[in-house]
Amino acid sequence: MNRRYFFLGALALATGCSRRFGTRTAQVSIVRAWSYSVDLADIVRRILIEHHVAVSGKNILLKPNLVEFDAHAPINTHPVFVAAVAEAFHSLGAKSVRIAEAPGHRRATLDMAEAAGFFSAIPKFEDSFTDLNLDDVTRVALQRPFSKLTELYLPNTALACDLLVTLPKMKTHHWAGATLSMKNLFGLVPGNVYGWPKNPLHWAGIDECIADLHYLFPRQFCLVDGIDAMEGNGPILGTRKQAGVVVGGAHPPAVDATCCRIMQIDPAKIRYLRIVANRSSWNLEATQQLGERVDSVAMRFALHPDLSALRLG
Amino acid sequence: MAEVDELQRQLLASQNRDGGWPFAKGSSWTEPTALALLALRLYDRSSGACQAAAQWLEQRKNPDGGWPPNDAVPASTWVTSLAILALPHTGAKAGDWLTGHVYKKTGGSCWFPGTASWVTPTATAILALSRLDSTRFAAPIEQSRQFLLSRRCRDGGWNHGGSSFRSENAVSYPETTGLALLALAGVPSEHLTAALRLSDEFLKNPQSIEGLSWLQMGLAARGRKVEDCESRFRPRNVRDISLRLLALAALEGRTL
Repeated sequence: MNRRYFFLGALALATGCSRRFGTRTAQVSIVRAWSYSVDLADIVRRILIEHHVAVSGKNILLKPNLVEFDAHAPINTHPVFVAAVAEAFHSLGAKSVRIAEAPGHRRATLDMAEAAGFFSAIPKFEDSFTDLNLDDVTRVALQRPFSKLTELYLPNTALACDLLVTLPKMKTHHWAGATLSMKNLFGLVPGNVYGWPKNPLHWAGIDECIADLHYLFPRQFCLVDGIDAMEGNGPILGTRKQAGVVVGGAHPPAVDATCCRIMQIDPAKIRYLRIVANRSSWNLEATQQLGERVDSVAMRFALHPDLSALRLG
Repeated sequence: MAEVDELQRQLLASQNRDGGWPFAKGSSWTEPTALALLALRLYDRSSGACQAAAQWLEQRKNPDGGWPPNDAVPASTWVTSLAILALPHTGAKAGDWLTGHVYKKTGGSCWFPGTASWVTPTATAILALSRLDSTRFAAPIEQSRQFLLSRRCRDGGWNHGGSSFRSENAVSYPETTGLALLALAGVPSEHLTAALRLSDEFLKNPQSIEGLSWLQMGLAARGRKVEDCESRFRPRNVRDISLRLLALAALEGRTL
């Protein structure tokens, strides 16, 4: 790992941020990983240590991106990556590590997980998995919402965890431009209340709802599966793009902005990032990289033709 | 019948003390309760469990005529259709709730009030309105059928029902294709040739109990002889158990 920026990591607080000159600066790690056969658990463990993530005795909830039955296309977060993250958290003393997801289109979540390879990659997967589409829910009022929503019903399993670890696939998205850590939180919204898809979120404003969900879950850590990513007509019909990176950090907007730069998408043109930046003391430039430099791993991700204006530079 | 007996045993064992059913564990929800009640009634057994379930559902009917999904969520939603199917003598007000929540721009039904229309809530609304009063609700039933026909994917089947903009409406799913065929039972087969051909393909790999069950129900409702293969999928929750029981009944000529 290139550690030329490591000294900045030493400044990181438990939240993954520091304040310099009144602006909140967030640290984001970029680590090369060319395939799923490398020691991903060790990579993840080093990222967690680098960010001083408090793991010991905590109830951890891993939220992968599980969308389709396909085990070969880079649609879902790779199950081997999820297994490695679980192993890393266990090894650092987590009290419990659960995996949870509420897919947005298909209802047979466990069958989908089995077809996508989760049962074979993760021992006793079914025992450690919660289908958030079937969970009991609690009403949560939204304080100062960006969207038209005033409340959301959210799964109790997601609300009860000590740390939400979002594990998105690095993908382009034909509506939002990119789907990364923050968009992955749509998968916490329960279909048993809102349906398949979760259409009230679309009506209330997709980007605004992404921002609302971000503020509803303040205890997050992000680990983006950018090993085999997706370009083009994502999030389902795009094509494989071997980006060969794992991106991690405690500040989801900073992680997503970094991923955008890796994909050569301008984060300033991703609306949900602008929404969060406008309200917070963090801004799109206030990101410090640990590990690899963005320009050493950046590659041009094909975009849907209608979204060419999002291109960086 | 051994499979039916075992599924019924599992269903009865998972009934909550309040008479309703959870999806898997936890509090009772309208959807699994209505499906479980439908499934048990078709086999004409377990009258005590059925009575308790019917009472659970009746007590949760909202003053607006609809049903909420769960005690924690007060708003009436698409699950009203399932409650109507499980309580067919519930009265026309429930049907009025459904027709009052049609998305006017496209003509179908929504999952959640105030949003757009999708395949599953529209198909279940057709089934519910047909059960309640197919004469009184003839116009909205036809409107909903037209919505379903307009939302077919290029392969002739159905997925969740997204628009075709930016290829979102790409490929069909077994479960929604089977459910849509069930709701379109009155539409002549010659208008659904591609969907029926696709369903035969899907039966080779329906991906889940849900997919297999809706396909079997959809094809059986059209009078198609459907062989049951011992499902290689196992039921994951109350909904799966109920759908499998409903499908097995449909194969014997007893439909929703």
